[in-house]
Formats: sequence, C-alpha cells, structure tokens
Amino acid sequence: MKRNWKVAALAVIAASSLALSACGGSSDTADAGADSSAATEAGADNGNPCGWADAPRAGGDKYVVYMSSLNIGNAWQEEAVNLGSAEALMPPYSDCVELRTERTEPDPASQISQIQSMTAAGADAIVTFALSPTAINATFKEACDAGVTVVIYDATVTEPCAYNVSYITAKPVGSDIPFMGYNAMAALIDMMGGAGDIFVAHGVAGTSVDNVHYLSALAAIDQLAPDMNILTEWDGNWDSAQQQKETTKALASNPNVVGIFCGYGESGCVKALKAANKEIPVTGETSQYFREQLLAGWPGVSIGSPPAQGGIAMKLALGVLEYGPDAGIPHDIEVPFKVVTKDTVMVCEEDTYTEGCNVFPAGVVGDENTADIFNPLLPEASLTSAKTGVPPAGLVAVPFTVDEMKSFEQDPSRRYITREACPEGWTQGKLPEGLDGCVQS
Amino acid sequence: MSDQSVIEAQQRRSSRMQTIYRPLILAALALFVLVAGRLVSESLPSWIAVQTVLSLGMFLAVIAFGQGLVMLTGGLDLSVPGVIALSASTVAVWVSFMDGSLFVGVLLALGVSLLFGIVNGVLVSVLKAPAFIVTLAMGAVLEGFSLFITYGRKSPESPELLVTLFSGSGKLFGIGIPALLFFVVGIIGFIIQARSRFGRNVYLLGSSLEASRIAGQPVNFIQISIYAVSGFGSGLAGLMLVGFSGNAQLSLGTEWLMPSIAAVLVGGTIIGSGRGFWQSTITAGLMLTAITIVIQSTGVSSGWKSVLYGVVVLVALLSTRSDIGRRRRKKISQDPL
Amino acid sequence: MNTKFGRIRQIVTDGTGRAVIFWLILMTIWLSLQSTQGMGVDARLIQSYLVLALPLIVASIGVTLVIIMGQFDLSAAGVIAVVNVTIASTLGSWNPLLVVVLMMALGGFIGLVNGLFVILGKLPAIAVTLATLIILQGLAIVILPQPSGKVPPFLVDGVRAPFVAVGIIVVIIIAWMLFKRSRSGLYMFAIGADPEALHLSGLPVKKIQLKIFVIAGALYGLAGVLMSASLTSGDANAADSFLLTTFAATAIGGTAFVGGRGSAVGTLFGALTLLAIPKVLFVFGVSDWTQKVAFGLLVLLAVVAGAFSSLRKNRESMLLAPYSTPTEGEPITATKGGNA
Repeated sequence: MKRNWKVAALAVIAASSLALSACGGSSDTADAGADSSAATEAGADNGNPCGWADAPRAGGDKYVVYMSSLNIGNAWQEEAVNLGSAEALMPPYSDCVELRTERTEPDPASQISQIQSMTAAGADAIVTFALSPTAINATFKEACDAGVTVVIYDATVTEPCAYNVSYITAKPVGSDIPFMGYNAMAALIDMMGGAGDIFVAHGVAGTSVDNVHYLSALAAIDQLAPDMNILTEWDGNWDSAQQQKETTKALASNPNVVGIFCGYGESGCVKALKAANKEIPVTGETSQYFREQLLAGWPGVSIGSPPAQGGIAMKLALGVLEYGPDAGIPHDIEVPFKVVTKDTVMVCEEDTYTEGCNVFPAGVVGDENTADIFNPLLPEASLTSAKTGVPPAGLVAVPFTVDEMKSFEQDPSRRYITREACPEGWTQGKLPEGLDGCVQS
Repeated sequence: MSDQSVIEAQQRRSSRMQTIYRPLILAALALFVLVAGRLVSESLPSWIAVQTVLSLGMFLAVIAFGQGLVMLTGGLDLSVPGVIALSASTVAVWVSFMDGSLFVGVLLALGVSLLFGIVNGVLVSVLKAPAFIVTLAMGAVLEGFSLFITYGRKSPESPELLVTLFSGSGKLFGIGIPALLFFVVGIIGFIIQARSRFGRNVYLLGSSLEASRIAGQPVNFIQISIYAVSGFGSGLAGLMLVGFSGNAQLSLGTEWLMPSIAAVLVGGTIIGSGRGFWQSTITAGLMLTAITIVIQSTGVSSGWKSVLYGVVVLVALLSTRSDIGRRRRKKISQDPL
Repeated sequence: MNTKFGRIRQIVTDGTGRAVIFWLILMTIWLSLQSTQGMGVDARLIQSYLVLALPLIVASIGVTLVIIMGQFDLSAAGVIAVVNVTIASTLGSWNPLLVVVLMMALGGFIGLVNGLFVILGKLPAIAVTLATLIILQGLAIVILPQPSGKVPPFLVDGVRAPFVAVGIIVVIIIAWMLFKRSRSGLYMFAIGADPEALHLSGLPVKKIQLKIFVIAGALYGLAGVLMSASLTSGDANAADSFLLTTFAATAIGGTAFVGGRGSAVGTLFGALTLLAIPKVLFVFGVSDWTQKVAFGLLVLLAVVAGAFSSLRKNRESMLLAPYSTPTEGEPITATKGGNA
C-alpha cells in the first residue's frame, strides 16, 4: 500500500536526519565554545567566580550546581535535597553558585537520561542520590570526563571518579564498630536480653545498601546471640505503609514474636504493633514518630541514615569546585550517625543545630521527618532549610577545609563494600564484622 | 428438542459454577492455605490470622470492585495509586492544615476521586483512547497533584476517626473493624454488581458493545460511569488507607494495584468479555492475601517469595478456570453452521 | 486521495504518521532549546538518547506484535530482568554474539511457556503473563541479590559506537516492512481482527499464536541484551519500568488495543517520544511535582491526539461497512476462554 511506504519513508527520513544532525551538531553558545580541557587549566586563572580553581564549564559567571533526589514524595528524600539546596544558597556560596534542583524518577534509565541532560546543560557539579551502585557508572564517567564533579550521597556507587558521601560503612557516634545493621541488631539483642524470636525487615530487595545492612545485622546475631531465631523476614521497601502491612501480616502468623528489626519505615512497624496491643523492642531508623514513642517510653533503638548527607555532599562538591580536583580531597567520605535510645532522647528546641538533640517537639514536623538533619558535619543545618530548601536569613555556610575533608575519609578496610575494589596496598579479605572488606597486603 | 434442553442444562450448570461453586472453592482454598500454614508456623491457623486476612482483604476488595467493573468492559484502571494518593492527601491536608471538618474533607476527597474517574471515562469512551494508557497517564498527573498539595508541608496526619476505624485499633465485639467491614463491602458490592440495573448494563456492555448499542443503551454514559465508580472506589480506599497508616504518602496505593488486578483475574473475570463475578473476586482476594501471609512466614529469600507467589497464581488460574471452553466447543461442533 | 491535502491527511490520520510527527515536534523543541543552553547540542547527546531508547524500542515492538494478534503480554519486564542478571552474573566474558543468541533463545523459550499456558491451558493471556512476570522478577533477584557483574565489553562499546544505534533503528524499520507482508505477519493481523473466522477457515491459528509469543519473547531477550549494554552491569530491579512503558510506547505509536491493527514503526516512534518527553521537560526547567503532571499530560496528549483522528476515521468506516471487523473500543475478543 502506497500510504504505508510513505509513512515508512517519513520514518527513515526522520531517523537519518537524526544521524545527520548528530554528524554536524554544533554548539551555539559563544561562551561554551571552550571545551572541557580549557576549563581544567591549573588554577592560574583567577578571573573565576569566588576565585575558585577552574572556570565554570558553560562560561557563565556562576558555577552551575545540580541538587537532585528521588521523586517519590518521601520525607527523607525531600529533607536531603532541601538541605543540599539550602547549603548552596547560603553565603559565601550564594555569590558564585547557581543552584538548580531536580527530581529523578526511581528508574536507572531515567536517571541516566537526566545526568546526560544535566551534563549537557553545563553542570559544574551534580549532587545526587544514585539508584544503582553500578548501572549509572558509564554515565557518571562520561560526566566526569566532561569536567563535571559528581558527588553521590547515601547509596554509594562503584565508579571511581564519583565522590561517595555516605554513612553506610561509618561508625555511629560513640561506637567502635561500624555498620548500621550491626549496631542496630546489637542494640536489639541487648534490649531483648540476648535471646528470643525476632522479625527482620529488609528495605528494597536487590539493592546493595539493603545487603550491607542485612549482612552486618546477621553478623551481629552470629557473634552476639547465636541462639536468636529469625521467625520471618519481609521487604519493607523503606516505606512505612508497606512496613505496617507486612508487620500486620507477620503478627498474624507469629503473634509471639519478641522483637523487630525494622529499619526505615519503622513508624509502620510500631503502628502495627500498637494495633495488636504489643509493646516489644523495635529497632528503626530516624523518624520523628519513632523517637516520640521513645520519649514516651517505648523500648527501642533509633539508628539510621541521616538526610544531612544531602547537605554534606553539597559542601563536598563545592569544596572540590573551590580547591580543584587535584587538591587531594578523598573520594570516599564517611558520615557519622546517631544512636538514640529512650535514655538518650533529647528534644530540639531550636531551629538550628544543638549538640545532642535528636527529636523535635510534637507537632512541629510530620511523622516521617527526622531530626537527623542535624549532624556534626553540617552545623549550619536548620529546620527551615530542611522544610523549604531555603536557608533562614543570616545563616552562613561553614565550608570544609581540605584537611577536614581528608579527615572524614572512609577507612580503607571498608572500601571494598562501597567500591568493590581495594585501594593500593590492600587486598580483599574478611572484616571482623563478618563482611568482605580489605586487608593490608 | 432434547439437544436444546441438554444445552440449557449445561448452561445452567456452568453459570452455577461461576456464581456459587467458584467463590466457595476460592474461600475454601483461602482457609486451606491458612491451615496449611501450620507447616511453616506453629501459630497458624489462628483467629488473628483470619482477622488479618479479612481486614487486608477488605482494602483489596474496595479497590478490586472498581477494577473488576473496568476489566469487565475490556479496560484496566491504572490510576488507582494516583487516586488513592490524591484522596488521602486531600482529606489529610484539609483536616490537618486547613482545620476543616472531617465530613467536608471526606466529601472533598471523594468528590475529587469521582471527578477524575469521570475524566478517565470520558477519555476512554468518548475519545476512544486506550484505557491502559489513559489511566496510566492520569495516575501520574494525580500523583503530581498529591505532591503539590503536600508540598513543603510535613506529611499531614490522618484524621483521628479514620485512624480509629481503619488501623485495626478500633474494635467492635472484640473484632477489628476492617474485618467486619469486609462483609459489608461484600454485600454492597454484590447488590451493585449483580442486582442493580447499573450492574446489568455493565455486564451487557462488557459482553458486547454492539449489542448494547443496538439495544439502545446509552453506551458512553455507562462506560463513563464505570470509570467514575472505579475512581470513587479508589478514593474510598484512599480514605481507608490513610486511616490505616496514619499519614498520607504518595506510596499509599502503589502496593495495591497489582493485587487488585490479580484478584479480579484469579476470580475468573475474563477481561473484556462481560464475564466475571464479584463473589469470586473478593474470595480470590482473600485467598491471595492468605497466600502472601503464609509465604511471608516461610523464611525463604525475597526472590523466592515472588517466584512462589507467581506459581501459586498460575496454579490457582489453572485449577479454577471455567470449563466454558470445553462446553462451547461442543456447542460449536453440535450446531451446524 | 491524490490532492496535496489528501496526502497530508493520510499521514495525519495514520497512527504511525502521527507518532512520527509528534516525535519530530518534541525533538525540535528539545534540540532548539538545548542549542541555546549550557553546552549546546552535540553528537554525543543525541547518540546517548538513542542508545538509551533501544531496549524500550525493541521490547515495545514485541509487546505490539502480541497486541496486534489480539492478546496481552505483561512479562516483558521480567524477561529483560532475567536476561540482564544472567549476563551480568555469568556471561560477562563470553563471546558477545553467543550471548545475544542465547539470550534471545531464553526470551523465546519464556514466550513459548507463556503461549502454551494461554493456548493449551486456555487461560487469559493477561493473567498468565502477570504470573510469569512475578515469577521472573523473583528469579532475577534470586540470581543477582545485589547489583554487580559485568557485561561483555564488545556489547558495551559496540552499542555506543557511532551510528550503531541509528543503524539498528533503520534495520528495525526495514525488518517490520518485510515482516508485515510475510505470511506470519499477515496471519498475525488476521488473527487479531477475527480469530473465529480464521479458526473455521482451517488456518493453524494456535501455531501462529504460539509463534508470535515466541517472537515477542525473543525480542524481549534482545531488549535485555541492549539494556545490559546500556547499564554495563546487572541490577534485578532496573527493568521494572518496562512493564508500563512498553504499553505506553505501543499506545502512543497508534496501535489499537483491540487487535488486528498496528505498526511496529509507530511503536518505535512511540518509544522515542516517551524518552524525549523528560528531555523536553528538563530544558524547560520543570522539576519536582510539576514533572509528574507535565509528563502525564504530555503522554495523554500524544495518545488523545491519536484518538481524535481515529474517531473520525471510525465514523467514516462505519458508514461504509457496518458489519466490518472490530471498531475501537470493542473488547478484546480473542482473549475469551475457549477460542482457538
């Protein structure tokens, strides 16, 4: 049929015009004529905004910095992106940084497309949550090669050129042992007196973060309470509605459980327990609801991922822009996190950082928000920043020095967990906590 | 003559199969699963387990009702998570932030759900766009609106009454309210689907669009009302779920979409054929819920849990499939054409 | 219809033609805005966009074939996930050609299983493929509990080499032109349009249906290979979005869900459109909640614009042949239990 051939011809023309435009594509921006190699000339050019190391890629008078998180309406993601955004809007950064915020759909291909768009839009730095430790690597590498500083927070990536800012392998404040999973399980074991039947909730199955938490928690059981019995496990998907549903189901088949290792979304576990009239020890992450329960006497430990990582990652990115990629800033940063029990729970009365406080007064924030926006590495955080993404007037950023950033470097023995490779002079081996790590060779 | 009566007897048997035997089989399977759960947990079977199955099954039933109607006429409603999120956010924001009354909040939430259900219906029936994609895109739009309503605010808390009713903490005669509501939902759904004029029109439409048109039915209006009912049902589910979990989140409805479709399918509804029965859908929902509870207790890794669930669904489909196929083929070979 | 306007009307009322036009409009908007922003437009930008689109294109075409035949197939995402984790965990250093063939065979096998359940088991395709989807997604997590692994470097580099992506697209267009005129292709359309009639006329309807399921499965396998090359590693959850996007691409491409009509070329441009929408939203600076709303509205626009024209075409065809084969909106007849 002739008409079909016409349509086919149109289609082939469309495809070839793509190919042709790919051939002859040129950039129209006069200032961006300089390719990336010019932008990385060693620091002699002090005509840069704020006098920073390299000129902005797109040739403007401000550095273009993207702050991104997941577009799932999750309180943690919102707080993380808001803290990072607020950071870039504070003096002295506000003079030379143009902040743009993005949200990424929870699909690796979408994130890849977005990173490519950001790179093409002239980003000097991209601070983002990574959907997969490996799937986006090629795209991150392309961005790095084009001169973009890539900083990932919370979930880490294995791409060497990207900076990882994460709590995953860090030690909690006041503990000598790393890993959230291990510490949380050890605390649960302690509360249960060393033995008993428990439920274990996973996050999203098939992610590396979930695996680290889970394996280190199992290691704690092996080492501290080998008689403890895991009655049942489920995927909580880091979502309190899901956790609540799954806990309800688990209670239906095992009403005599004595403790729950709940992880993120723990308010769901507690609500299910309340509906079943059971007050048993629960370890969860950092939600306001959970800590309010701790204040009211619920047995539990709150220990988890601080959204302050968003702001800390932004500070690192800006530090790399300031001092240049060759200033020796480490690519792996460990962020400390808190352990909160009913004995250490303390109300935050102020909008800004107060040492030791870990829960807000009732009604100030929603159930799923957290006071772990406050972190020793981010003293300029404020509740206003976390809620709105805009810092309150008068608040000033506290930039890292290069030495400070070096001091936050991840312990090489744990490098394997986040990078799947060991640094020079180290080889793969077993860590005392039972996971695969690096040992000195 | 006797051929005719044989055929009629066959037809009576097959329709009895559909309306009575099949739901009974499914309900029995649900119980059987709970009893077999003894193999994986010493606390099964128990009244708590039965209550949990009924409670969770109730939420599922509310969503599967609208989904079933849509699937009877050959569509799919993928906007369920979006409507749930919007309805939940609307009532929660209205009561928490606008200090409005719960009554008005509920009306707003249901009104908004109904409205977008109607929009779905118009796009599908008048513009003849494929239901799959229309509801999918609409779902994304509604999720966006939900984000907007809650934007920059703390995630709003659910109104007290809803929490008491649906989180399982409120009890009547010692039984959690959602479990009791299951039967209420079942009866209301049955009346609408099987005993109302609306239900009859839906079945006629599902089995043949042309026949409906020829019979003078306002086809477009019926189709729009089907999607409106589905939207309303999702909105109602949103109110219940916001009570269940105590706050409004975007993810409130996402875990209920696929199970609602599965319940309709395992219940024997043939998509787009006008063949499908509410009793089978809700009992299928009960059975699937019971299965997930037992599978959860088996202690296998999460990958294997999904595999197990999928296999069970296949087995359920195979063992409860209608024998209409066999009888129809006999009919075809008997009737000279 | 030989007047100039008549010809334009032909293209506009044809589903495929509309899909191409809509896509061209989006590309124009995207590229013209991009050329004035940031680093401008360069070859790599378009190249990466195409490479990323390949898996969705191929998988969506598989889905389209099944829909044209009058059935449903929800299992694409599952096949892609299993293929991806299999490659990443064990086939990373194998001969790339062997990997492609093996994975397409694996996909075809899964398609065969689907088809057998539907045709021999007389189960509705939507239900069967939903179950196999759940099983496959579970298997993917079993095979690779944590994202890792490697993909044959030849595939990774090969798919990114200049013009490879465009070349694959051209090959797809040509292959479709040939397939739809082949016997299998014609039967596929015929079965979708009126399965009862074909059954009575003695055609091996079951065999053809089975064949199409297998071909679709093989295409999902190929899509899995392409996605692995794109992601350069394995991730059991990475394929989840394919469940819905393959159908969205099919619908945007103008294929009706009632069977008997459709075009893989339309689907190809539907897939390209779906991936161009976020690009356009990005250069407009749309982010946060408006992102979802704008995305949904644009998809609706793409599909409804198509529906408007079909509406008019419908009325015309109803005037000509009131007893003709299914019009839009009629339920999928071929999925009733008991047919063929």
